[in-house]
Amino acid sequence: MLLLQFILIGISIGSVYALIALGTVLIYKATRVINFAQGELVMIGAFIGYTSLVSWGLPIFIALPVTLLLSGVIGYLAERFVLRRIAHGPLISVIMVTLGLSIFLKGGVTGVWGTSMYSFPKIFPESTINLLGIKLPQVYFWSMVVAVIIFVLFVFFFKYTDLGLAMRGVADNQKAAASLGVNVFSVVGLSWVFSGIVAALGGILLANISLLNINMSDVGLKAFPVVILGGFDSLLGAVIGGLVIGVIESVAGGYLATIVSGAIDQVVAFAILLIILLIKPQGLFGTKEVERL
Amino acid sequence: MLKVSNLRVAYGKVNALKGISLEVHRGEVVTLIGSNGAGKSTLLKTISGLVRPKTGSITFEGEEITKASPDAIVGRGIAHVPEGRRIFTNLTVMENLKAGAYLRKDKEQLQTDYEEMFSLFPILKERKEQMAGTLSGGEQQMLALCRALLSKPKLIILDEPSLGLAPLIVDLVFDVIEKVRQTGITILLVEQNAHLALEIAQRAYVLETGEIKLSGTSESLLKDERVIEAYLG
Repeated sequence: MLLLQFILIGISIGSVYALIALGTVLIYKATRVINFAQGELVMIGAFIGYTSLVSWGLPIFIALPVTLLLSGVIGYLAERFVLRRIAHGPLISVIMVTLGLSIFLKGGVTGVWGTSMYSFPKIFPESTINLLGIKLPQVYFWSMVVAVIIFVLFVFFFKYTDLGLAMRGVADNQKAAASLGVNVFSVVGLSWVFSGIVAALGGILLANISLLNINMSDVGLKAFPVVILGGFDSLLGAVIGGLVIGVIESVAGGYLATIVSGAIDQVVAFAILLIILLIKPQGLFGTKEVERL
Repeated sequence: MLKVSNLRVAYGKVNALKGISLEVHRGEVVTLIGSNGAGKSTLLKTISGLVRPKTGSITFEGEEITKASPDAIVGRGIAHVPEGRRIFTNLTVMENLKAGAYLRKDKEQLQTDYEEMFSLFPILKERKEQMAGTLSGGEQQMLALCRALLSKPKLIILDEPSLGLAPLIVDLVFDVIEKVRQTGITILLVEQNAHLALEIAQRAYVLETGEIKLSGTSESLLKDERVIEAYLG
């Protein structure tokens, strides 16, 4: 019973990791850039959510769209005024710029909201929900639901819309997409908007699970084991990877923490990262480049 | 239809194009021949808006397109089949074709157009659910051509369609180019295989180290001694 509880909690936290990783994958797919500022987007999303709920006193059904919109705008601005400036530069510089962006964003948040702990207004009922005989706090349950909905929306978007197809085209081969009349910059901009939005969703969920603070951006680091496990260019991989890492963390934390002192759950994700890099560098669902002449 | 005047392009300090002027008229097949590094691909990329010229102008149907973005240029009716095919290898054949019709407004017409393409290229119909990266080189070239045609271009630019293909497949590709010509689409063909190019084209330009060295009808160039020595020998 205890194991089942650890697993369910792991799946819930893993769903949040999956959302955050989806943002990383979206940007990677469109631009081959690994965004080191994803965790900051998560944190900013949560802070905007806090401000619109508490400072502006908006009801949740208005605060949520406002938060997602503003977070999308931040993603867009990051692409438009920072990333695009060096879009044709060497990949490594572009990635370094995302690292700079993360520091800049963190600084900005410190300036506006400071470094203290905020208690996020509870947007889900305090009661528990009974799942497979386990009493689970509602926020955990809804995290899973949100992750599933977002994943399904993205799958639908990429599979059945022209814009989704264009985005996959850009991901596959930017020059070919441009030669077909796809405006590559708008598509890349859109991937940042989407990424900002899912990051904010993840941030709001996370803030409901724990407290809100500047250090929330550290969760962005968790996105790396997740996407490396799932495969950098796979949406499904981000979800499965998120769940696996979440569950392993939760179970390891639950059982090993009593044997090994220290925060063992913080380490396992990165241990998995190392193992995957050694045995299957493209991840579980990532594509190995197939090319024929 | 397409008019390029005094085009200069430089990559850093290297002058890739040193003042190119050429014209393509409606319904024509014009070919650009020249060896590796002559500047052929640079010229095509400049026409498509992927590379910016230092000076000079490009007009299409009388309108200036020198500074237009690549997507705007496609929108005006210039499709570019880039060198090395550049198909979307991780998308299915059908998805590649759909991407070709990305800018089309008349989506209801598309189904018939897909069927038309499939009758022209039956192999693509057979493979339409396959990942495009699994196609053979010749099939990928067909797909790239098909994809470009689906944007309903007025002018189609073909960059080295025979590159890296077996001789038999090259013949097949050129049969298809001939079919495209018969539908009335204007073609600008860049080719290293001067024989094939001059056979299909009405006029030709010879490009050497960033300059047009010769131009004229294909018949006259086929007889030109300099051409025979450098490109047909």
